[in-house]
Amino acid sequence: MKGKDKGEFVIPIILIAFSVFLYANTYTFKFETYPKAGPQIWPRSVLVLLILTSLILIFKLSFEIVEEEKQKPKTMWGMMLKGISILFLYIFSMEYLGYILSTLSFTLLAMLMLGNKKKFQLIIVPLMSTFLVFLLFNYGMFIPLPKGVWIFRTFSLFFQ
Amino acid sequence: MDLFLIGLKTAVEPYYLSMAFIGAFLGVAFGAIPGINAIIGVALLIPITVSLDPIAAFILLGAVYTGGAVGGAFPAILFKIPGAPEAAATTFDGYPLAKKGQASKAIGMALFASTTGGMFGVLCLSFFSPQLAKIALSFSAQEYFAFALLGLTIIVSIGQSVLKSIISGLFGLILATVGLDKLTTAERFTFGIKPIFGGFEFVSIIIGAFAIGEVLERIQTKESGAFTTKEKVSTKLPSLTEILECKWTLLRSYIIGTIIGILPGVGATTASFFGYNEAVRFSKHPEKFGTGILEGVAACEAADNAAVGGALVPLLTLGIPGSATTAVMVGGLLIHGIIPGPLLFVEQTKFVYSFFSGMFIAQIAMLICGMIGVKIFVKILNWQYSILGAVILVLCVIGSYAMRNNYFDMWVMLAFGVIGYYMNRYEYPLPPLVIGLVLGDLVETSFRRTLILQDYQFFTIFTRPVSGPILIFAILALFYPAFRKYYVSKVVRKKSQSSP
Repeated sequence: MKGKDKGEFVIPIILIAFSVFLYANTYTFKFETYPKAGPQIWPRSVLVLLILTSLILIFKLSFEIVEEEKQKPKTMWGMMLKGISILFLYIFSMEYLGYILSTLSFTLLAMLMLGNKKKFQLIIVPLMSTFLVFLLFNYGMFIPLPKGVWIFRTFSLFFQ
Repeated sequence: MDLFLIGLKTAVEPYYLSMAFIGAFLGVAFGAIPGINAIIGVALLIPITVSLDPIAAFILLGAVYTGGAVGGAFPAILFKIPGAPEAAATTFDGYPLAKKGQASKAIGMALFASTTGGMFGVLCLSFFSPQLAKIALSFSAQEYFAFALLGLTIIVSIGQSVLKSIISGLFGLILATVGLDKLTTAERFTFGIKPIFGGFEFVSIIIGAFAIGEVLERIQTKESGAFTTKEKVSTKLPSLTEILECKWTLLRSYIIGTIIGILPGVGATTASFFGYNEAVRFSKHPEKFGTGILEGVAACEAADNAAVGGALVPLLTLGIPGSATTAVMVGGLLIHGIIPGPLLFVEQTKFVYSFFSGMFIAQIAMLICGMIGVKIFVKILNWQYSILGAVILVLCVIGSYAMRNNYFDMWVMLAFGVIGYYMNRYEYPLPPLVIGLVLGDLVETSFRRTLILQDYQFFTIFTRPVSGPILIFAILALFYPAFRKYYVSKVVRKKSQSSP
């Protein structure tokens, strides 16, 4: 295992656990018609194949020799977590703050995280993109975007 | 012919015409930016097409698909960086031409070959699809199962590791089983979560896995993604003499591209390599290939775009996508309640023929957009990824919300963004996941119907005149990756030998 990216083993192991769990769950399916071609037959077949292929992959990875130049660069967990966190916050806050406020702040944060330090761009891009997307969905496609709650709803309604 | 004229009459209406132009422009732009390709472009645009009528929506998506195929050639010629995998072979002669100061000519030839190749592919699509659909109308569950299985064999031809591709495809097949069972209405893997009773929102998964996964990868590597060139780039279309010099190469590549496009799983990348290799094989001066000749650019670009029309044939006639992008396009059809398959040619005649005509117009639109917009596309390449990435993230989140005005779909998108990121990182290709998701329902339903119809004697399916040979072909298709590996390495070896 020396020199190997242990992360390579994580996906097949998770898939095996996930497949075993789902396989067990297929026994809870309720049906009365077509007992031999019921709703469980296909998922079970696919899950068995998924377990088998994952096992073969683990076996193959265990015996594979990794060349030094082929080794992957390390994951920058901090950056990754920041990225996922601001997306999480954006989706979570949209229900309460509404589309406009949450998108303005999210775009600004995302640009900063992606390394943009130009002040002019940091002001103009969030404003432009937020309002262009708003116009496209709200007036172009008549799809109402989240308005938020309480005072934030009043703010959103100001733009309708 | 009458139907084609009705379709043409619809497609030339200003509304549909504008869709072809907008789609072609966006497609070329998506193709030109490395890291964003036609698949991501189509996925991002599906939510926007919700409010359009089905004809306009599908012309727009089709134009993005066809535009994406040529857009990839721009960075391939200018920077030796293919904007899309199918433009990889364009670097062989496109980049040496740019180094000689003839980038404008290379781009002009790429546009011309792509446009004419695309037109050829669309004409074949218009001619063969109705005939194939007529035959397909007589198919029963056994035949559908065989074709769906053949469609699933695309999975093994995508990605570096066959095993990882299969795992990705199986994961897609399992995701397709979530929700109420079509035959018995039994609840499967819903765990009481109401928004997934009807299954996962297809578009949220695609947007998350493809677009969010890609942006997370860029965040992680802090890659700026900006490219610059000092050369003044414009488009110089080939002269009549230059076209006549390449006429047989072009014609050969049109035919190769269309046939390869129709075959499930083979795709535009192989078509362009195949087109290039055959051009070298039939050339009187094979040593010139790889040194920067227009014929080299024409060979791969013509095949690449002819494959677009070809890939749409199995999608429209059988409901089986011929490529990864057409698999994503299924989402665009389904949100409008249109189910691809032979019945489409009976029940939605106007839609089908307007789409054919729209795709033909999209080729012309692509040429015009490419010629006028080349300077804009080069400028887009200079954009900082910090701007592009932030805008893509907003479009992803809002796009997945807009599908059903549902907050749950945004969380699904985020979850699949993280899954997509890890799959990318550990080289599990994403297209097999989409193909599994798209074909899952068809393959399962037809499999179970086959079991019932054949009185649970499954293997008698091999004795039927259509399903038997198709299943054997599907088994043979599993060996395609080994053939491709041999073929591509042969082309690359030949090319490196001919380069000075």
